[in-house]
Amino acid sequence: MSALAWLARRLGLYAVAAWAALTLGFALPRMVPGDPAAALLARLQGKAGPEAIAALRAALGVSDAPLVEQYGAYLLALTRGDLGVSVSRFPTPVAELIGGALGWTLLLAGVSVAISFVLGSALGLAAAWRGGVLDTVVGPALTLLGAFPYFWLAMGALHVFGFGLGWFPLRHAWDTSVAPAPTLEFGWGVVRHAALPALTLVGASVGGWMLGMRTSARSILATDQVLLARARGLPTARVVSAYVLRNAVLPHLTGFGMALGFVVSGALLTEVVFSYPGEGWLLVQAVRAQDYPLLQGLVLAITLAVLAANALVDVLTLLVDPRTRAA
Amino acid sequence: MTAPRVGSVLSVRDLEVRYRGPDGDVCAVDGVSFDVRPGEVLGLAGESGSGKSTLAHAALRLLRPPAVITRGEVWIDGEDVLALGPGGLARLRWRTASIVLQNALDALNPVLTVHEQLADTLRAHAPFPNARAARLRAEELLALVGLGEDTLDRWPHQLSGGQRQRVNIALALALRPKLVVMDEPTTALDVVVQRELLQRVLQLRDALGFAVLFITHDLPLLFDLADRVGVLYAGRLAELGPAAAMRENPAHPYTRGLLRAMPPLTGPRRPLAGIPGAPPDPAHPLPGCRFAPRCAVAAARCRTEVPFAHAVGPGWRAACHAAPGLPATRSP
Repeated sequence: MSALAWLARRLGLYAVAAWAALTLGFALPRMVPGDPAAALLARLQGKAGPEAIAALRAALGVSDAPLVEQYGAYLLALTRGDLGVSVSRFPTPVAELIGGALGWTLLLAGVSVAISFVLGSALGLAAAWRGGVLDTVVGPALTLLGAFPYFWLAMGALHVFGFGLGWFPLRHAWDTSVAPAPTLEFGWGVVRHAALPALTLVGASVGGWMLGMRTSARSILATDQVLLARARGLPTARVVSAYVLRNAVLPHLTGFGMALGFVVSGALLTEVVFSYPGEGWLLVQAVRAQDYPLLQGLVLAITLAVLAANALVDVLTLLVDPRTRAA
Repeated sequence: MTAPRVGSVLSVRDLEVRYRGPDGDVCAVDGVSFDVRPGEVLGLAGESGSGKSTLAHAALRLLRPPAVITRGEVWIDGEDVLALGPGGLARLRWRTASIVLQNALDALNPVLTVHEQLADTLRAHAPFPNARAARLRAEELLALVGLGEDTLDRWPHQLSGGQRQRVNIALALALRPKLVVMDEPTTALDVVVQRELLQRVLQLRDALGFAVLFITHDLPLLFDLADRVGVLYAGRLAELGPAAAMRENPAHPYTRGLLRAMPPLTGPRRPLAGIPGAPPDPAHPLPGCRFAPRCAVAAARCRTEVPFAHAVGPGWRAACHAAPGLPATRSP
């Protein structure tokens, strides 16, 4: 089978998985007792009359139509990007809330995961190749850092560097005293606000990537192909990049894809500790407010992101490992 | 110990290799000396653990820790290999001497095409004016080992075992070395592919004139292939001599035992006989001859006194007190 056919089959599988996720997103809320309108009404404590209830149900898209009909309407709405209306922030559409948070999450968690993976892999490779202090001190120290409970690490960092030393802002994602516009000043505020949460994210995960990479690079270094590449007199840079790194990175691509996929569920604890307005923060808000439509939309967005990240890793693996192209 | 022989492409003198361990060293190669002359095939046979692979790696200084060379000399084409710095070693390795290892798949990078690996090797030693020139040279090399140019753009996993080892041989010949060390290159291949490959190696040797140090556990194969044959036992060279004469009349009891354990392909049938016992534990070396506990003709002296190489005939020596021939001398 050609690489293209393989890819098409994989993407087909992802399409099926996405459909299953959509359907679950439809079925789950209908399996729990009550509905969004009931939840909202409960807060009004019976002060709403029957007309008001009917109007609310219509506004929230709750209907008593047959399930098949509802399912059809649900899928149709999805194609328009309509995920319903938030209950806790009525009447803001769910899609708008998720879309607003997505940029911040991708910026913070996405960039952090990428930096952590690249940095950790580079450190692990260097530790396996050269050994020394990097291997005996830096590696274990980073692993120790990663072993702390993350919320503790994040709160500690916020306390020391934000509150105590005042180097970083304490909360939010941008400087509220600067008008949100594509200006250098606003951009600098965004970077300053993202820096500390990003540092804690990278600090907590870089040790794991380093340890994994060190182990696989060690085993690749012990293979005959590396011994022979060196015996043939290949330049060190070529041996490291094409003979060691490319083989050692393969087992970690999947892990990287998973990490990337879960970015959209937000670095939940990070966003809570730093009051960062991303998906994780939104998710916590939705749970607190029992905002089912918003939760449903978030779960769907997270699922699709995991699927998309996996598809990306598939393509990446295809490019890096020729053996996957033949299967 | 004698000086390296002038004109030898490889001279190994009194070589000792040890594996360092927490409970003391294990001596894998113990005082081995031999020469490989230009253009000849010298075969070294030995069973598992006899030190043959260690010897092959040591000859090109490719030992990995915990293995270390603790004594002796290695000379390749007039250069003292053990005294070379990184630059000298880089010049020597692959231009003067190269190696082919047993596991053909392990020896190739799975994520690079055959062409990329050949081109890497060629470029490491001589700049190529353009990609086209490197590709042409890679094509020539593949043609040498009987592979078509369609192999160039394939990855190792797309090749058969025999094709992979052909690629490894092409890589070994890339810079026209004077010596190719082959460490069990055909052990993982079936008999038919093995024969084709060895015939190809002999043809190339005739055409290009390189010498081969061929290492295997397959003694009958060596007698067919090699000009001279050495037999290793427990890290020591038991016997070394001209292939034809040794096959007819082996001088060392171990060689005799090995030959008696193999069915002859031609001639009358005879009962097969194994060698009783097992090789000694290299971590606890025996005094005297290491083969003595398994030897049918061992005398009291064999258990206490290490036998040195006796000249059995011209260019033929055996490390055995009971070996026939000239009186005992310490000549290699």
